[in-house]
Amino acid sequence: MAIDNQDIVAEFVQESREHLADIENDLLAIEAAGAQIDLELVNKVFRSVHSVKGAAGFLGLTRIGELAHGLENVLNLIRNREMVPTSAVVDLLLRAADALRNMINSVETSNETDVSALVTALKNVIAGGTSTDTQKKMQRTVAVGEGTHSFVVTEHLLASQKAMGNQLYVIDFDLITDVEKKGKKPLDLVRELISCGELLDSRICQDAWGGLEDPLPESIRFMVLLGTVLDSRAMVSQAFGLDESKIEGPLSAPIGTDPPQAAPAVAAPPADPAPAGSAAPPQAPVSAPTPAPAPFASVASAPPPPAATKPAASPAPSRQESQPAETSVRVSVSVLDRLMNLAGELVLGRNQLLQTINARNHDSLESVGARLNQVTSELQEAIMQTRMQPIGTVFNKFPRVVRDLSGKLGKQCELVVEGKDVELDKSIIEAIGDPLTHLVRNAVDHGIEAPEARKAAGKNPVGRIVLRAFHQAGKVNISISDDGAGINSARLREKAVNMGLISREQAREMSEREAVRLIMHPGLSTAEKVTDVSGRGVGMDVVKTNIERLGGTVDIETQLGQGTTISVKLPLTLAIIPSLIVRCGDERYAMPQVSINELVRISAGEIASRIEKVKDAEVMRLRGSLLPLVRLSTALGIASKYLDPVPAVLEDNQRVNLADRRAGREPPPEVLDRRGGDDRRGDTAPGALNVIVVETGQLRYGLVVDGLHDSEEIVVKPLGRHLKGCPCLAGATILGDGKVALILDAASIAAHCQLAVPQTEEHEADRQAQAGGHEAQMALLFTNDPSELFAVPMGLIARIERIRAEQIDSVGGQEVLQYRGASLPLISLHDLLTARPRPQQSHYYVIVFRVGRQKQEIGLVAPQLVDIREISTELDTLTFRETGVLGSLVVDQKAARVLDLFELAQKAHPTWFAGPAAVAEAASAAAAGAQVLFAEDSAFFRKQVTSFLTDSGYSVTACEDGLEAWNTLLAGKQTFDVVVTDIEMPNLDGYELTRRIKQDPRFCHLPVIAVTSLAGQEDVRRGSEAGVDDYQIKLDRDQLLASVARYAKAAAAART
Amino acid sequence: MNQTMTTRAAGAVLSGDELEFATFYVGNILLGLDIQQIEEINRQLAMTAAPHAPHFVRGVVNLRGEVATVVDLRAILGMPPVEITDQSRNVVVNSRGERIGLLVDRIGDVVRAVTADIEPPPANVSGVDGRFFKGVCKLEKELLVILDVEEALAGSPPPQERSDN
Repeated sequence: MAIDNQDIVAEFVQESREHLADIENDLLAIEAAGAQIDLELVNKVFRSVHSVKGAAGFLGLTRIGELAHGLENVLNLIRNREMVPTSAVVDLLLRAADALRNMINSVETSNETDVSALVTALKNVIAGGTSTDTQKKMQRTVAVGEGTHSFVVTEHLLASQKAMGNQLYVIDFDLITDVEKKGKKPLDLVRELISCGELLDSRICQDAWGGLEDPLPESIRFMVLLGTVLDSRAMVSQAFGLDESKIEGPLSAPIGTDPPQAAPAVAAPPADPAPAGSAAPPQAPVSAPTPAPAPFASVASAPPPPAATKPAASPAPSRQESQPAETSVRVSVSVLDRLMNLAGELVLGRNQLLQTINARNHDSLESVGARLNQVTSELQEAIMQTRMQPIGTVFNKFPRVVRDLSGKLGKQCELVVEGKDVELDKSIIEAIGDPLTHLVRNAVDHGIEAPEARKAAGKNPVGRIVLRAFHQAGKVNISISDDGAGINSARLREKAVNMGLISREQAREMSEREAVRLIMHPGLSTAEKVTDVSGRGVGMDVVKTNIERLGGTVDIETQLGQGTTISVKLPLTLAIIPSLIVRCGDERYAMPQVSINELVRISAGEIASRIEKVKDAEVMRLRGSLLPLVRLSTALGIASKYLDPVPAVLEDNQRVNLADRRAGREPPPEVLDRRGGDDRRGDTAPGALNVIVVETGQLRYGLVVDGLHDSEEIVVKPLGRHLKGCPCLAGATILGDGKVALILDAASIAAHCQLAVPQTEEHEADRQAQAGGHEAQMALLFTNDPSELFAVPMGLIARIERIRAEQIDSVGGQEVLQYRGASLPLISLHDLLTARPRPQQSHYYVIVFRVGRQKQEIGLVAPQLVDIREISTELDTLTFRETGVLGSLVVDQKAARVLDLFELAQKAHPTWFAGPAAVAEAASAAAAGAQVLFAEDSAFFRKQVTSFLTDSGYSVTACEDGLEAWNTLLAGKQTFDVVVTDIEMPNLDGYELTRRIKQDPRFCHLPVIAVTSLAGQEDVRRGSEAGVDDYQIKLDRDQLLASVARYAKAAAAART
Repeated sequence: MNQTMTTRAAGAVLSGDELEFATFYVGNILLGLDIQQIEEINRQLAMTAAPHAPHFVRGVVNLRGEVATVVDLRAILGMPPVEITDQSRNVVVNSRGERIGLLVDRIGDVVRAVTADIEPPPANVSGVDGRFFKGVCKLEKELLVILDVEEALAGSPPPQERSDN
């Protein structure tokens, strides 16, 4: 046997897997096409199998070759339209492809695998599905070539080669001189051959092999029968760089004139069976004992007699056979080049660093640090990119799963797959397969009803399952929806009560959403009867645990009779996760930011009013609802040490881009020095409480920690075996100072503390309040002089920095902040508004926002942050009217001025805005009177944008969401010139609105400008896919006006 | 200060049945480990405590970018815990593909012994269960007890029931 080179075999396995990766779906597509054979597709499958066969023959993997050959024969018939791919045929092909894949996966033992049953079945299909003439041709063999160069092939093969216009050649390679010495690999040769035509047969001359003691043979002859369109020996010799003497052919028509076998002429179909019979012996034993083609004769005909159902009913091929994890990844050369460049830069950075250290030059240390920081981030990103794979690799197996399962259950299902090219980290792709398979199987088994039941319910008898993947908010969402029966929550409640999981009262009080969630409780399954598919009551809980282990969440939405949607949210990667470093006792811990909802600080004075005890459990009041509290020290069983945290900040994590603040800044030293030392746990603690509001999918609770540190991107490291099962922990990481910090697992902490699902109604109410608060706007409140309160809409803030006073430089009357090796222009309120000067402090906060086309960053100095709060959008625009102030409102009996950051920036740096503003002015004059349709769900932004558009002479129709805008368009009362839309809106979001507009011939000419708080690249990409013409930042009025003017003008020009 | 010793540091040729043992003290017992089993010995004792860990786990350390568990041999052998001193060392062994640190009181010499001199361990050594030991070997002045790392890392039942909550 020729398998001696592990590398070649590994390469073969890798390549064959790639060849076979799509085969299932392609076969299913072939089945769907039925008699309308898609030649392109059949050819593709044929080529895949053919490549496998070619390489297998070369490596002496006879069983793989045999099976691939069988498959290839059937595919060849389909390709030649000599056979119709019926369900039964495709079923067999699928089984054969499965077997082929399994053999390739365990390639070492493949030669011991028994494939005779499948090979016979394939032959029988050929026998049953084709005309007798074809069958005869399949059975009769002829010899081509002379002497050692002769090959025995079936007539049919020759005929089909001829039909394709291929010429036959026998090529005599020497593996030593022609391949190895040329630096090629044997598989390269096979690849080359296949790229030129069809490798019909090949063999290695056995006499070339010596015993083990022999020195390496000087030549190994490898004989190939090739069918190719190259029509002269010279061309073939050129193609392979071989001497013409090594090539025989073209072996045209009657090859069989001189060889002793006296094979019949290929061109003349045999009239007398005699020569065929004489050439047949090698084949005859295999085809002869076939117990008459009868059982399969009907395979190709439509009404299936019992025999034909056999392939389908035979023991289901175990498809779950362990899919081996990929051991290698393909990376594009450009990515590698980029990595190499970055590695080079890293080396330069290191050299610079060493020089700086040697020279004790502290000034340039900062810039070297900044450079290293940047290179590292880029390197990290580039490396992550090599790990990203499309989710299609997982999705591709589902059409088969659905087909087989629905066939088995007598259901009719259609599977729609969207978003195959969404990319996820390799490790997640590998881990997500099983849970998703389970969900898809569930959808077929429990979700979709039997066709009769569907008809009775007035539905299409064919059920529809939609599998969709998309990016949202930095996570990958996967949803599996079916239009089936939905989940009967009443039955779930009943079952849960019967099983003693919940009390009858609990069942009654449970919200619908919560009741449906019961299905994820271990031991509950609603299937009426237990099938071997699902319904054993293991499943949803396992799915949930597995997905949560990946840092994801599962959510179920169902409507009885309408269907169920299961949404899975996954992080993009597991290897590096943004986390908040917290302190408890003497140790620091990392809490992944995915689980963090917000941070709340309860000052000493507020503790009594906001923390209550219900029985033994502490709860916290948060915006009118109760949140269960867990003390991290209690959960971890360690003593808490009180440490006054970084001054009062209330941060809404969703809005402040914490990930941007990853530079590992330690809390200021004087804070650390104030360590109390003694244990001051309990409600009487004199200081404030730091509460992290964490969310674990179905549970939200407050985690009390001793101190908050910075937010960092951490690299996850596994824990040793002694710590694997420890509750509350998810792994470990190494912090900037080299110490190990453990990573907390929010779900496990809740489980460990036996946290009950809290007062659901209130919980829900709070969610509702958060989600649906359209009329309110989140704003950051701060003071300049302690007596004067200001507010800034959160949506406009890029991030917040805490700086030391000495970091502020004054350059030419302009304040700048030196940081990260660059300088950030600062503006101060007392320079721009009638405001009192800020007090002298050792530290300030800086609110960073971006303006203008260049996304220039500007920092607004905010001496003291007060709160993040929902503020009303009903502003008093009269009392404090001046440039830079939107209006005022009353917060806690104090007047707060709401700032207009763009006007402030413009006032401070008029030169930055002169250009575009002038353009906007001129253009808007031209476009005055243009009709603008504006969709925006936030009343605050709606008012602002409407007012400045109206001020510029446009007539604006404002709508509260995309649906309203769409209906306004449909109503057709007005004609519009430009559509301006928000992206995130209820009912119909901006993408969908744009899509509808662009797909409707009546409206597709309308330019659409999308406005967002902060446009990420991903948003821009999605937007342009939907057809968005331009992206603008809300309240960046000059840019927005310029854009509207540009499009309005174009629209006006088109009209006239 | 950093005492690091790599596995193949000892260049001397050993005869077939001769073994080299790195020795260290835990309480008053002189323990030995085949030098081939040891990856390094260091003074890296700034550990991060691991809550809910088995009682004999002292914490985790950063071992050149890898997070390694450190176990307290005293706790495993059922001896009362002591504070970490200047003499304490972290003996890093490779156990089933994982690096694990053994916290010991003090490091001894490298000792050569002939296999024939190694006797099976008695039922207990200085009051410690003999199952943790592979054998004993009489040296000039004292008794070298050869540690069975895998048995030791399998852990012993905690001396008393711990309460997790």
